[in-house]
Amino acid sequence: MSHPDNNSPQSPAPDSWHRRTLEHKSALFAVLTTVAISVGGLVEIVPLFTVSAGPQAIAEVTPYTPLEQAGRDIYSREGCVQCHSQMVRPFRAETLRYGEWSRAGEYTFDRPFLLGSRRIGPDLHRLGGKYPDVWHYEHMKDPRSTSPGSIMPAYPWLLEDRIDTADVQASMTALSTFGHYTQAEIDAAPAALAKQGEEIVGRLRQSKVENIEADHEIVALIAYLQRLGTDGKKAIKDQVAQTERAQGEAVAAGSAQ
Amino acid sequence: MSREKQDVPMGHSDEADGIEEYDNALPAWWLGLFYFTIAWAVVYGVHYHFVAGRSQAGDYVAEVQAAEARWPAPDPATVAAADPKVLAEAGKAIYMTNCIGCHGPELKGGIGPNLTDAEWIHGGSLAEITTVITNGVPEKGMLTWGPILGPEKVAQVAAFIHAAGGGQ
Amino acid sequence: MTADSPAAAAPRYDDEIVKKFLLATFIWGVVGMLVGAILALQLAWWPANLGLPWTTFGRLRPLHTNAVIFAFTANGLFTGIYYSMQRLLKTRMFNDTLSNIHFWGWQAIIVSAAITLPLGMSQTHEYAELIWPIDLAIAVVWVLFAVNFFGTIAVRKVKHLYVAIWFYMSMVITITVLHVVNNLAMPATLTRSYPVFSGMTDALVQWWYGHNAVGFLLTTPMLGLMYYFLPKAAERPVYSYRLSIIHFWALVFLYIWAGPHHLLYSGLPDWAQTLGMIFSVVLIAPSWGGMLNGLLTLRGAWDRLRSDAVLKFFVVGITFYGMSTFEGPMMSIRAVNALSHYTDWTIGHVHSGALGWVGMSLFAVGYYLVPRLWKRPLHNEGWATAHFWLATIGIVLYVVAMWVSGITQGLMWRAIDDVGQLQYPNFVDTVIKLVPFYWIRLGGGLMYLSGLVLMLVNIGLTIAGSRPDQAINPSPAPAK
Repeated sequence: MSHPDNNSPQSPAPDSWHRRTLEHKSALFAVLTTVAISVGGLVEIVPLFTVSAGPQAIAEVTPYTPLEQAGRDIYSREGCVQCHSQMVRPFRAETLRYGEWSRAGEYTFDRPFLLGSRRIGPDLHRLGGKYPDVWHYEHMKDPRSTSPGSIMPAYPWLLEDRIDTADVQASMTALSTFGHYTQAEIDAAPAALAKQGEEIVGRLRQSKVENIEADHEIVALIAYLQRLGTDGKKAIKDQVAQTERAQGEAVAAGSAQ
Repeated sequence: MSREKQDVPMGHSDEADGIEEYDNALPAWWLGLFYFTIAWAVVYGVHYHFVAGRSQAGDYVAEVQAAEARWPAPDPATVAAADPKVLAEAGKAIYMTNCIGCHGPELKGGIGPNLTDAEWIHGGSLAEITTVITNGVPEKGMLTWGPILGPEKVAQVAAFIHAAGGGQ
Repeated sequence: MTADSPAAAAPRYDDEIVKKFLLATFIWGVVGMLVGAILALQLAWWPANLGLPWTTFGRLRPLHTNAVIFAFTANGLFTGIYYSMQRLLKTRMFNDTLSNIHFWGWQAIIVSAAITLPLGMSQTHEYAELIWPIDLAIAVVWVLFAVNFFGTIAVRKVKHLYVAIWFYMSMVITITVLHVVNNLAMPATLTRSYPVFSGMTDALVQWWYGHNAVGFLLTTPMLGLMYYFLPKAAERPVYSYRLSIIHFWALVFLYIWAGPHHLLYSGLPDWAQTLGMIFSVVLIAPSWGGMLNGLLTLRGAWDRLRSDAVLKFFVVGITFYGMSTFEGPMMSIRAVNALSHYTDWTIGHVHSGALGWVGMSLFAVGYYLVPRLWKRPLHNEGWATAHFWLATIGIVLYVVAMWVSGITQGLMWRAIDDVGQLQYPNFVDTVIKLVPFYWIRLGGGLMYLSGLVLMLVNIGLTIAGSRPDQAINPSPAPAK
């Protein structure tokens, strides 16, 4: 291919290095592009697999129970994450509203993570234990009965549809690849589902909700929502106390000088 | 680079479906912006982590300490002796955050009982309301708020309910 | 292909595939934006959720984002790439069968997405919601496209690669890497799987993906389209080849680092958050390099803006590109992000990029191509101008409403009263306040959508041959 203009007086210079080597050799260009786009991801992601630079584990955090995992799958299916975050930021205005800010180690068994990116509704990471089971039942049935003015849609089908034990076990089997469950726990899932489900149904009955059974989807969802953010609370408390002590000592040392 | 050679075609249009290209110098302000942001990035990163030694956990503790200094927590004796009106004022916000889900923003009840009528299931005195909030009524789904809110906030929200709900 | 093409050039370029992608682009565009309008209505007026599982906001939003990104934008990119790369490389696509598998495979993927997402089948990774069998299909179709793409480069009849091709190449490579890594998962059932990574690592991998899907699907290949279609439409030389080189390499190297800015103040280690923040700010100049090369290329052609719809759309598109590539880095700064994160400000930012940059640029490409592909003048030039104004005013309404709404809510969340407690402890109070802005946003979105409908009708009538008597000269055919 000739470039007649290259030799004309108007032409600034012969082909540049970029043009001669890279643009001419498309394979080299592709390889260099691959290198360029790989560096950032490698530098940022790979260290997270190391103990020192990665998220600090919290020993008290354990996998979800079968019923909670079933509830988590419902949470994913309904797209709750589109409107609700599960990440309390370390600001006083957030901890006043929601509770202790969220630590990385609390998410160890979150597959997938459900941090969210938009709060059309409030953060849910510290929802566990905040309201009684019946609140969640009423709220999913008619959000405006518990939160006047809410723009959340109602989820009446959760009160009718039922979870499938085999389906929950299939999820557990997949998650056992990552060490969430043992085979014994998977085998015992039907009993575990029934037991935790009956506990919730019992509490709902006390609140005069009669027509719900242990395998209704709403029961699984309540189990999950009541678990949210409850693990590792003590570990965080200890950690906070430690940080405050350290800061206090630093301040004291500073003022002493 | 050379300003005098503005808008000189490179003469490669035959290789680009007729699109000609100039090889004009990079605008100085653009280059300056690029260098500035790089310099800023280095300075910020080094300062944040190595000079100021900041972290989000540390920043949070500092924020909370500043708030505590600005709005000091009254000691329990003061709370007990405090003007119920002042307590109730502070209690309103706590009620609106934590209680309306079951008792409603108007205190008219819902999942939980109505707090404005004459009937007080567990007693309507300030002390009785405080006890119910602190210990909860687990069999009815009323949470044990004592450890969640702490005695001071419980006193405040109890004062609010007592005043707004017409307690005895 | 047609009788009025020069005989020598007739079999040279495959324009049939371009036509298919073009029609798919704007038809899916209407679908994706219509779902967006329904979502906007649901936020303003919740009964629009209709009380059915498959019409609730939580299930429909992924449909909207996937349709706009993978159906509207991606089809638009393929339209422009298939048209321009054949001409830039002076060769027909490497393999017509691969082109067609790419087209039909991609449309089948979109249809399967439109079925599975409302059914609640979702991986819940943002913009990677599609379930694992569809992810596999995407990987296969994408690799076939890559083979066709690199095959075409291999058989090119020119020596050097024009800047547009660089940007296309960065997309083909990067999207492959992102898609594969972010979708690594263990299937539980045919419709459900669990990711290999968990917790914060999963979050970082996802936002590495999410941020760079924006970078290498909505930004770099769109710049590639700009580098071809803008100088062609303006009939002006590209301002600076040197600038192209610098900003290309800077952009592809730096973009990847900015993902963690989606996770500021999360459990992600502080050092990773800092990297996400500072690399976002460093991205301003490389991003603006593209804007400068676009706008400065138009020197000497500004007078044509009044009459030429293609240039009008490009100018507004590039302007929004410059605006949102400044806004994004600002929102990545910790102090700003503390206010903007989780609010509608982010939604406004995304839409100034998607409606402003991507949408307007694709409309420009569409108006450029339709007369050339079907070889007849546009049915109605006035409608194109009307489309331009509907779209521009629509975007402004949308973005301003979201700015006001986002900042309002962010400030209400953090408002503290004089005793040190939250001023708005009841979250709903901060939501009700936004409803008026949600109506304005819906209005802006509907204007934008109606402009696109007008374009689609215009294209349809052009193809139907409303003005067949005025056949125009097709794009210049190469000499050999």
